[in-house]
Amino acid sequence: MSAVPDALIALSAPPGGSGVVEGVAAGVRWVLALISAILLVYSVAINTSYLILIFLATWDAVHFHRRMAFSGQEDVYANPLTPAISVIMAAYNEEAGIAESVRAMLSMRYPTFEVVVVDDGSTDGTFERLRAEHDLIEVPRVIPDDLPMRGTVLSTHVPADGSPSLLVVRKTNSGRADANNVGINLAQHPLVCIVDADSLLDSSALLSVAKPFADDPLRVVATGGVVRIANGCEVIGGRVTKVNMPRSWLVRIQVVEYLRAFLLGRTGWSRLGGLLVISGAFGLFRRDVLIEVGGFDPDTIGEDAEMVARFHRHLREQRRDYRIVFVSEPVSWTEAPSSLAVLARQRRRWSRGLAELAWRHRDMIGNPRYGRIGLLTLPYYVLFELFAPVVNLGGLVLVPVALLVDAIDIPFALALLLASFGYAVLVGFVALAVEEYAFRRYSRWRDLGVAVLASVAENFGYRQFNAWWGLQGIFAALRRTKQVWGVMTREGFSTPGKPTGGKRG
Amino acid sequence: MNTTQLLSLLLAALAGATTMLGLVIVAGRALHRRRVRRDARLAADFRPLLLELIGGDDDIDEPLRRLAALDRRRWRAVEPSAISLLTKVSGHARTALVKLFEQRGLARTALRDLTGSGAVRRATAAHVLGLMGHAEAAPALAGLLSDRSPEVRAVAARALGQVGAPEAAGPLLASLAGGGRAPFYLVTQSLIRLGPGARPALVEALSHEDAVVRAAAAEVLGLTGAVETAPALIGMLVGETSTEVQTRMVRSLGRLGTPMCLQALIHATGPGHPHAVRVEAAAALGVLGSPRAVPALGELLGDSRYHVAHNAARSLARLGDPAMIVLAETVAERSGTSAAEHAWEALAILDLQAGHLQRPPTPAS
Amino acid sequence: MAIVLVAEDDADIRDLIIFKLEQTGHTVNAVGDGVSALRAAREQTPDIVLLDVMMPGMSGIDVCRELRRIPETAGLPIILLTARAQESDVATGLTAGADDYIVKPFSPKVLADRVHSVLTRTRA
Repeated sequence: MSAVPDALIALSAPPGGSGVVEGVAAGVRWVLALISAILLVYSVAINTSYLILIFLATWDAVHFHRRMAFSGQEDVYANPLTPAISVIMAAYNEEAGIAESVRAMLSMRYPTFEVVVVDDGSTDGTFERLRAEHDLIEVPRVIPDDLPMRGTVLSTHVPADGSPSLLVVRKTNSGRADANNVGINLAQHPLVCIVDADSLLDSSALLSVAKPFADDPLRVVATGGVVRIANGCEVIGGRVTKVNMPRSWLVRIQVVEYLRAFLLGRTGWSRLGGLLVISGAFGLFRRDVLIEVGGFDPDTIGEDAEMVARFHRHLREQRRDYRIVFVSEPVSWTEAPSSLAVLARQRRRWSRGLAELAWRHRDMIGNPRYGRIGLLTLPYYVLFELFAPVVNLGGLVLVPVALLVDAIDIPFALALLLASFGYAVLVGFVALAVEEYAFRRYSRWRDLGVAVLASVAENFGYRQFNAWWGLQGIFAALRRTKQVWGVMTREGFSTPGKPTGGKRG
Repeated sequence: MNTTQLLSLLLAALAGATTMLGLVIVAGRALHRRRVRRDARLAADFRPLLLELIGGDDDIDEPLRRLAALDRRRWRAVEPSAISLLTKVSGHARTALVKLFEQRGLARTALRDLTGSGAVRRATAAHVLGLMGHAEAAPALAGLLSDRSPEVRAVAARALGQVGAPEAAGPLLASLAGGGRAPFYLVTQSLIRLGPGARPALVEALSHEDAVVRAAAAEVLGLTGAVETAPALIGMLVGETSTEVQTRMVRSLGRLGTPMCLQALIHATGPGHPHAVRVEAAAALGVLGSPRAVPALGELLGDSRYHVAHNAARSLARLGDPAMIVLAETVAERSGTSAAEHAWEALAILDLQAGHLQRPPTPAS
Repeated sequence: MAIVLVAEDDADIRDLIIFKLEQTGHTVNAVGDGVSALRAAREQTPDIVLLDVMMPGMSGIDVCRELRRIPETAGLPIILLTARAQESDVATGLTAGADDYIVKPFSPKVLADRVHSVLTRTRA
């Protein structure tokens, strides 16, 4: 606080004695002091923004209970106007779990829906499992080309009993994004739900995410719901039947991280009308708009967020009145990485995806033509999500140096520590308190204790590692933008759950 | 105050706030658990009476008398169960519950609560009146369609359908305008429940300035089989500007299924119409189910737009023997064209339904 | 009379069903969720199972499907409790292997009759 003026005085003082050296040293000190000051402002700003988002989400959480009490899903279920859904499950070498996933999917509660399984050139028994289970036979099908496809459709299959609710498509391998596009092409219904083949869904998940469409059918174009971590939970018949805290602290921290990320990053943004990310693990879209925007881009990492950005871009450019809604019900469960190596890969991917998204849609950033997305959400994501690793790690390295060379004094360093760590812990607690009041996701006292400890612990070590991986992701994105466009190696197909954004940098 | 003092103050404030929050979390959870236990205990005391009332065959006088005489505090513990049960039982059980509610003057209290200050209170009152089908409440409920709380508006929309007063159709439709004051699915559900009495208002709404209102009216007319309104629907279809509304009108024409609708639908598949409307019209002709659509659908098999041809083929698969002949002819005579492929696909569906699929996956050419 | 296993997450309805079935002379085991129903069906060998479709975690349809897959419970008579006259619920339920279904809102008397008739039918 007082450090900056001090440094300024040092700088403006006439260089005496060792002249130039003294001048340079003063300059360095001044720069370090300035960086520290920026760090302080940044930390206060980022945590305050989290608080604001949490308060926005709280409003939604309060109403959540009233809504539940008075308008349950039964009305949506019983309504003849509830739109039919095509569920797209892209699968690549999912032999072990595919039969159960599809079975669980087919017994979802929803008035009218079909499941389209796209076997993306699996080399294992994925298709055989399905054929055996559902007595599939090959049928002719003219393949529409609403969306461009890279893979070639080899054959289409339906259950021999003529049931219209399952379609299995075999195609040559071309990656998840393209497989989803093939599924969208073949989808018959007006709403399309994109699901990870290895996600676990609640039996009422479709009803939850379809409700906004039933509420406001002419304006809602996409919805998503809360994704939670399945590690440690009891799973029977493809359903999470008992919610437990996982045993590993690495996963526990991620549990707290997800709870907060979805609370503020999604619900809060949804309130602001600037929701950018719908998890690829479970999202519902209007098929006609999917076609208009050109579907998923196979050349992008984090294709789900990139597509939502294109939704905004397209609908804003057309000046359409639209809504993208996030529902606070938990709908889908995903296995979180339990080893540092896998976690690192996931986080690098997220950060790279965000960097590429920001680069590709850079003309939207700060552009009033794109409304809140352009003026608020995108600048926020760039400043507080993308750059957070840079600032975090920069601070970690520079602040001790600044302290060492006397660019800042100890009280200032403490203030920085307070703003970045103390404030962060406070924000974590606020999020926990809101969670506790609104949803009570974990019922046991012990789990609550674990959540409290985890939200403190994540600030020491986990957060710094995260920042490091984030930085690597940004570099990966930078390297790629210099390379030839279009040449892409596919990264792990079944990366578990990708709720990019909303998480702490 | 110097920096160090300010810092310690901040630190203390932060520590204080964090501790406070911790306490709030713990206390909140403890309180919640106690409240749940207390409510459960109170309710448990009188649940046997309530069960005797609902589960008993004929002899319900005794439990009815005792429940009706409960003091206010005890009744408050029973009431939530009683209201929730009202949505889940029918027959004698329902009659018994309604009788109890009447004796306790629940409708009277609820009517008063409709203008209460808390949103939860107003919503609960509207909910109860809807469940009881209390006809006198209709005007007051219609007023709640413009309540400031979204939950109250939603409950009011549903309750109006349960009460079933046809004069509520106008306010219900109007509540959709201006960015959706009430949820579409609840309003349409209620409009369906209102029955034939709501039709004049629905027809009038076809020319409302807001597209959502027109869409709702079009859908409800189709779903309730309002055949006499087909001419009105067809008339409005011509001048309709919103594709979304047009597709819904077309869908309804398929459901109404009069000869006039058939002509209008065949016309709507024509090239002058928006793609989405042609696609929907091709499907609606299958729903309508008249063999007289077969020649037109046969033509559409060769349409350059996939979804028009696809839906035409699917519709033909629903129209029996004359359609089957057209499909088979298309396969035989136009082999190698997309029309033949669509026809082939439709024939495979028919085979599958008949329980024998032997066709190879591609038409022999 | 018979041993009836009831799975229903709504305590009010659960108590009502217990009351009504006990009144008609059956022995009732009631559970509040799908997993407990699955366990109870295997351990307590009931004569008939009554499943609510809409339960958190495993739905009644999930439980029904699982019961049919396990040899020792594959032959158990199953009645589903579904909300309103939903064709799709009924269709999914019957595909999953249910013997009969009861639509909510239901009359307690009809429920007791239905349990009786399914028992008679499957015992015959």
